[in-house]
Amino acid sequence: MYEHDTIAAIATPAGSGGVAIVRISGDRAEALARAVFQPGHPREHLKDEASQALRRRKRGQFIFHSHHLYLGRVTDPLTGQPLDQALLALMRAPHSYTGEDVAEIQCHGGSFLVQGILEAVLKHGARLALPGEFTKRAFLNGRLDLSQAEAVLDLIQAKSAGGLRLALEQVSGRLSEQCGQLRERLLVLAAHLEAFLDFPEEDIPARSQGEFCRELSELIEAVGRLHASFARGKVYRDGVRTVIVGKPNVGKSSLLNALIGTDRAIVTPVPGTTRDTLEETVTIGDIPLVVWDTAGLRASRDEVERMGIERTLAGIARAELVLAVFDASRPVDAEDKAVCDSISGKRIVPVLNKIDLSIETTAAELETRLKAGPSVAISARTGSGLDRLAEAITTLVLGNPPPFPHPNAGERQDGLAEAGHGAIVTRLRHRDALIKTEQSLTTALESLSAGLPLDLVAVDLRAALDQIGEITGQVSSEDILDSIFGEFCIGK
Amino acid sequence: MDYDVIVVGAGHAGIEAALASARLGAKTLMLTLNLDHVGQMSCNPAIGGIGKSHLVREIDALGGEMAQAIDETGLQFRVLNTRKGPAVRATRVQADKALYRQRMKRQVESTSSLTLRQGSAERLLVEDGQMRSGRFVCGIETQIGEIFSAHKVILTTGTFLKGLIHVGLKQYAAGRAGDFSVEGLSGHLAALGFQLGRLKTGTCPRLDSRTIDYSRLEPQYGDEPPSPLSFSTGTITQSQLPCHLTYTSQETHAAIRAGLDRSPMYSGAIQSRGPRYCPSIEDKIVRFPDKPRHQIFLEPEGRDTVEVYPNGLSTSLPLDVQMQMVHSIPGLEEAEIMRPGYAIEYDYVDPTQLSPSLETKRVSGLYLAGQINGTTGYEEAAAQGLVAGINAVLSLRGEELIILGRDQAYIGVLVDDLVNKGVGGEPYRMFTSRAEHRLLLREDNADLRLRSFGHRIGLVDAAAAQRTQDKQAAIAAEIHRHEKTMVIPSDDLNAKLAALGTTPIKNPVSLAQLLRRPQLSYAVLAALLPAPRACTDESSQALKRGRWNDSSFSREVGAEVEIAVKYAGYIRRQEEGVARLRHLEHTRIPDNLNYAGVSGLSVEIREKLSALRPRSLGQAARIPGVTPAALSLLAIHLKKRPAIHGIRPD
Repeated sequence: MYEHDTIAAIATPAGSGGVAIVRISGDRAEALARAVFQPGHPREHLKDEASQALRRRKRGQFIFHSHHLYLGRVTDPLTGQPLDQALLALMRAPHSYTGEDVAEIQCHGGSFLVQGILEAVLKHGARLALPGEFTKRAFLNGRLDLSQAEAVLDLIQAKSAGGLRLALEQVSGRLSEQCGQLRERLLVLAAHLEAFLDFPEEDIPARSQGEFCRELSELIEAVGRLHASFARGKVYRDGVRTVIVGKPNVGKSSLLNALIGTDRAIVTPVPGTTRDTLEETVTIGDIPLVVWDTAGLRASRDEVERMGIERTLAGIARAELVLAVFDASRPVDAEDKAVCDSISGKRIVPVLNKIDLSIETTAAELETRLKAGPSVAISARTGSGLDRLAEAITTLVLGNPPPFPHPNAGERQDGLAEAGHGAIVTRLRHRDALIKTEQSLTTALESLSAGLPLDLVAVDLRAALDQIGEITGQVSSEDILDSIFGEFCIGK
Repeated sequence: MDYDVIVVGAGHAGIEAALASARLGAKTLMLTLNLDHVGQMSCNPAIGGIGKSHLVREIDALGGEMAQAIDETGLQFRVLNTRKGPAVRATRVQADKALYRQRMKRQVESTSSLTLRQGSAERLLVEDGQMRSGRFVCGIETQIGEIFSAHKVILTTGTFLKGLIHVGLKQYAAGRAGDFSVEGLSGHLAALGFQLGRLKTGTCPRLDSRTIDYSRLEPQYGDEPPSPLSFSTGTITQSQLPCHLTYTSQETHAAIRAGLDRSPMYSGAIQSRGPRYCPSIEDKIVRFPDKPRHQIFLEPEGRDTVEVYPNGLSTSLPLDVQMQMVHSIPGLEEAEIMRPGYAIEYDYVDPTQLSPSLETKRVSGLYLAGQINGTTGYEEAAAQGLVAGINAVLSLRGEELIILGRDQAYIGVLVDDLVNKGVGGEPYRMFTSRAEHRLLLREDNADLRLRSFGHRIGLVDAAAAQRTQDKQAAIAAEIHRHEKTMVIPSDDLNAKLAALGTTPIKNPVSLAQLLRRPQLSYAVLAALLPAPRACTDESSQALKRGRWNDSSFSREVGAEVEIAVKYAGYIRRQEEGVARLRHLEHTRIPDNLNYAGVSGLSVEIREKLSALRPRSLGQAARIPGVTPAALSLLAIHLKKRPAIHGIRPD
């Protein structure tokens, strides 16, 4: 908790502002920023500060000056895909908010991009900052005075006490219950091992290595299942990341407006009006969707529109649900086909819009021409068909697993339908702890299978206990002893 | 003042405390109830074992006595856990109790500036401080009114404070069987404001070896050659004796069950809790009714005695039941009990009232060590005695105290657990699982961890310190050589590798890479690919001193190199874990910090911190109930104050 490690978190308020900031603080801030951020504007002709800076490379490493803004790209280390264009500011110690090296990545607002960037930074070794940790460090390094720091800490304590919602509490109650059970099993395993190490002359019924490995494998699987539920937990916590795509002027913004019942997106009959992306949270059934209206997908020579399209593609890459909109009043064309290509492999609901106008394309035609799945015909303008769309979305999301990419999940993907029953991991911190638990258990299993000495295996079991204990708030040493004495007749 | 330091008690804690104090030049008095019982082992006849041998090696590295004494007098030496990994490997030595006592008494008597006196300390002389708040100790008064004045008093009273022995439903006051209890002192401590508690422990009946039928029992021999506990012992020359293994029977269990109504534990005569890891045989039968039999190790108590300690048979059942159960055990059908087993209840002082130097926070100059602090075990006691003895003298000189970290020594783990968590109502014993940095705190590297530190204190002589330095240098040079020396594949070599059960090499590999293979050891590699000695400056210096000709030196170096290379990844991980926590340990909390002035702390946490007075943020973090939020508030508060220097001997 007091470690001088490097921490990261989203520094801007939750929700969708225009700009969001991922803040990284600590000795490795610059290294981590470098790992995810590539400086330089894609178009040299703009001759901006960054591209000039690009030419000032020395020994192959780009030089970031403290307190300068650099333009560049952020890449997702999982997919290798560019996430977003972003600005990076590096503030070297001690002239920063926390008094440590701080890197701030400023990107477009909207929770999925920001979350993606944060995950990328964590993947490279940062630890998720605890509530108030930036402020605490700021104080400890003399950047804030005591009263300021106390005010911030009070605020954070008040928030964590009052801010929890009932639903989340229930979900996390189940989580700590299940983590508690896993921890108990792990404790028994560790106790067996420790008893074997600390009491070699007691005739303790030895567990065969096979038995031990089996239990360990089962635990690994159970922990894996649990952290895989983060994907489902995210449904409730963060919503399902949904994009609305389609060629220009098929009514994507109208659909978004129809779903939210407001007039946020600019809707005009001029194709290509939506140049920036907009994000709204709507609840369909009881599933929150974070819906992202995107710029229409088409080849464009317009600089600004092209940048919008680039972000659209990045959004599609990270989306968990795609609403693909087609125009019923126009025949299906090559641009529609291109839209379908750009979203292949995603979970898609094809939407045939503008059925209030003269019909040029029927649902059946759409499905055969584009080899799309069953589509929903609606009129975003009149609202007809929206209930069927909601139904289709609910069925798709709850009935089938969405393709969530995240580390270690492997092929395991559970249907969202389970969401209401089992424990669900909703916090990134909890998922991180579970992933670390799984890694420690896996190492323990490997060491055991490789015939390494048992005191080394014990190191990883202990680490696993500590990691899962971070969720349940328990420490291990005394518990192991209690378990040993409860389980075995010790004392020669 | 009559003395600089008075040590009350001459058990394992008292001996180390008094020897350390006198060797550091302090005029020291050792006061004990019975001059014939200096260094008495009241329970099992053995020193060492898992976790405990780690303590003994650390005591030795710091300049304590226990390891050398047991090496000289031990009658069986065994290394346990040889296949379970370097961290849990441990040496245990069966003791000759009488020889050990004689050896220790001779040592105490021959140490200059150490006076040995028989007497029972019944009262502390305490004065109110003028400059400082609180009281300080200035001497003791014995049961016959004799008064000794001193600057420091170390109490190592073992189980003697209001000791009460139970055999069946009979009870009598005693410090252990055959010795008086001390009745006045604990009441006096309570009157001074100390929190006292009561603990229970027990011991086995002793049997006459001439009445045991060994022919049907499984013997257990010592290692050949035996490994010593002390870094200063060359080779063990005395012969070794075997122990024997037998088991309880259903008949034993039936006899015990039938006698439970007259057990002091189960009839309610004893309320206090005994140790779970050292249960009486009746506890085992009650708690694990399904276990068909329990092991009994028959351990000789010495070479010149017929007494045998049936380890595993600790009991406080009435003597007739003790006889019945002994006779129901194979090999013991005719065995005669020479001393009955018994349970003993005694007062202890809650050790959370101590600072990590083992000085009480309530009365300055007063130190407590050993079972009075709620621990059990000769080794745990000796470790505390050494810490108290050293710190009493350092404090007298006005020098910085020794507080070993949890990452530096089991002694550090022991003291830290005691002063922060207390003993939780059960006698505290060391286990390797108590040490979170277990891989770093090995029996084999205790000298590397602590010897130079013992030299700095003044308890380890220059020659011993030099040997450790040479060893350190030779290890570093050998690790370097293993990493840098490339081995070229050849048919000859590959044939030899295959014969050793490991895969041949196709490309050049480093010696270190070969050493990482589970089938290969340092010794095997040294034979296979002999090294030119003196390949670096450091090792050539060791060579000049003739170290490499010393077989134990080269064996020790080999063992360290092997562990360092084979387990490099794990050791590095633990070291990184230690480094992450280091600044917490280094952030000192002033002794006089007013916790009422730390805003935001809950009343409960404030009271806890005020009572325990942790010395560092790290220590505060380990106090049960202190939350991360409280720690942040504390850190923020401390930041306002000027920094205080670290206390760890790094």
